Amino acid sequence: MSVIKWIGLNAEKALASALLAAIVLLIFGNVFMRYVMNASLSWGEELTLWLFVWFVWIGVSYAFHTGDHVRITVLRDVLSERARLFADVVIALLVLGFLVVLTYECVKLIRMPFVASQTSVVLGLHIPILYASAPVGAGLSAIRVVQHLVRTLRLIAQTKA
Amino acid sequence: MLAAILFLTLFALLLFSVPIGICLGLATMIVMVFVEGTPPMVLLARSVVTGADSFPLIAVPLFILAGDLMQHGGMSRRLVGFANALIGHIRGGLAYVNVLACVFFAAISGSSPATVAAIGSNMIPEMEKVGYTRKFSGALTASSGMIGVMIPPSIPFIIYGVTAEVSIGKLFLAGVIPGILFAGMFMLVARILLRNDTVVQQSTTTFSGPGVWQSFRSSIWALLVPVIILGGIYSGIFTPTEAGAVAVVYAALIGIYVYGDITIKDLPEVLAGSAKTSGTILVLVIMATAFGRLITLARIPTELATTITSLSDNPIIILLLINVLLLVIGMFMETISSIIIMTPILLPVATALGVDPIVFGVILTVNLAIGFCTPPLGVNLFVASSISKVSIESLSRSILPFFVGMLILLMLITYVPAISLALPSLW
Repeated sequence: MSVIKWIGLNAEKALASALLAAIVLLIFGNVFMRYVMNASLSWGEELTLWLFVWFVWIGVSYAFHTGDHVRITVLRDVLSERARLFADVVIALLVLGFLVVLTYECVKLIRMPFVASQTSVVLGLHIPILYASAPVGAGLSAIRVVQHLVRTLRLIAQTKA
Repeated sequence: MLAAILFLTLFALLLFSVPIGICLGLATMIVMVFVEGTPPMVLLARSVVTGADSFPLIAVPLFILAGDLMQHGGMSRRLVGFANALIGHIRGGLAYVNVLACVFFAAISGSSPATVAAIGSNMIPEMEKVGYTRKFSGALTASSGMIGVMIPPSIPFIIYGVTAEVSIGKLFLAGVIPGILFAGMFMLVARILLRNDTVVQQSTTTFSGPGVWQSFRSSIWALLVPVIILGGIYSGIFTPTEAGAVAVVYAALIGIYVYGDITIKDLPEVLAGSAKTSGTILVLVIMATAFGRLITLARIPTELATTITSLSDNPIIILLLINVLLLVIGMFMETISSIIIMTPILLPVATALGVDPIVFGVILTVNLAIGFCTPPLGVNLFVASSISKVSIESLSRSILPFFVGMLILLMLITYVPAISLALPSLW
């Protein structure tokens, strides 16, 4: 399997899993240091929070990839199979529109002086790195939604009466 | 005006099967664009980051991961075995075993559907073998699964604690007695339902001291989990979030080195599964943050408070109204977003009546947890239906007697705050 194909299939899965593992190790490590080594890591909490914010957004995109986001399907369930496909197209377009506008607004936010010039309290990291999680996550999610949209459109074309 | 557009858009999107997190975000966005006098969209862009910027919130993916590891690592199976050895021999025993196993599993998991899945997949087939109908077992498991969010750890309590700025440790303790009461109620309802059923009244196992001892020894590592989590939190050794990380490491070590049900090679798949579940929950948190700001801006909390208090000045009636409102919301809305949206709206009303914020957290969670077991949107029903292969409609009917029991206890918890406060006040 080519590298690009692997990334296409596993990017968020691998990233989100790695971030979650890192969060566990950082927090556990901090407890261990505090009680066993008697030296708490002052930067632990801040770094963990940054990883967590990134984890949330990558996880959101991962759930878009697998199509696992929670939704209410009471009305959708009574539709015919074909009508359901058309409904899915409209839903995908709504979600896509939201994600694209959100990505754009997040990029705009990052370039504002009160974000762009800031650094974090403990580690001195650039705040834009934290805020970049949202446009990256929303952008990746948008890509996943487009993939689902293409698949649905193909299905519609195939089942054409 | 703002409120009308906000909620109409939200409900239209929800009904149209748009993912719930996106419904919240999109409704917020539409109001920010089209209604004058609302904050600029930068607020939304900011809150989708700052909404996740909370250390206590990290406990959510940690307890999800710990629960997944314990399920894959063989803890749920051994807990079922222990519950069976303890009470499997009495009449209608497997029904009680089902409830007791849910209580045990609730103490290592913070999620209600996860409890239904873990215990239901073990118990429903076993119960069918000895003559219980799948309708009954499915309804029983869907009901007792709600104990999963009442006995600590509990994801709704974490979300409420973060939103209401209340101690998560105290909330965890406050849920213990209500959780045990619900377990007792479900056993009682099962007992009444089975009173004339001759098939299942025969016991299938006999009680044996050595049997109990053996299953106790094999499940001791799982039974120690709540001791470590709660003991660690209440002795001040670690915070609830840190307890989550400790539980993950513990569950991984036990699953790999003591029980041997999983290997290091299985860890990436378990991690990925938990990351995905976390993504579906946390998207609601970050999207509901900006939505909640709009609600406050539209002065909905104050207006609702005035409306409610103008209907009656009797605190008992007002609390009843709040319960009815929350039950309806729980039936139609998803839990996490309901907590984030309803807490700022209703908590001021409740505290004005003299309700302790801890007790209100329990009332809120129990109401929404009852919503897990009711159509149209009841995740416990969905999970139980897919395990038991009984339709949602039929399961919804069989769950009615349990639902009555839930309402009785809900009233008890609402009007007797001591049930929730007895344990937290010890600390």
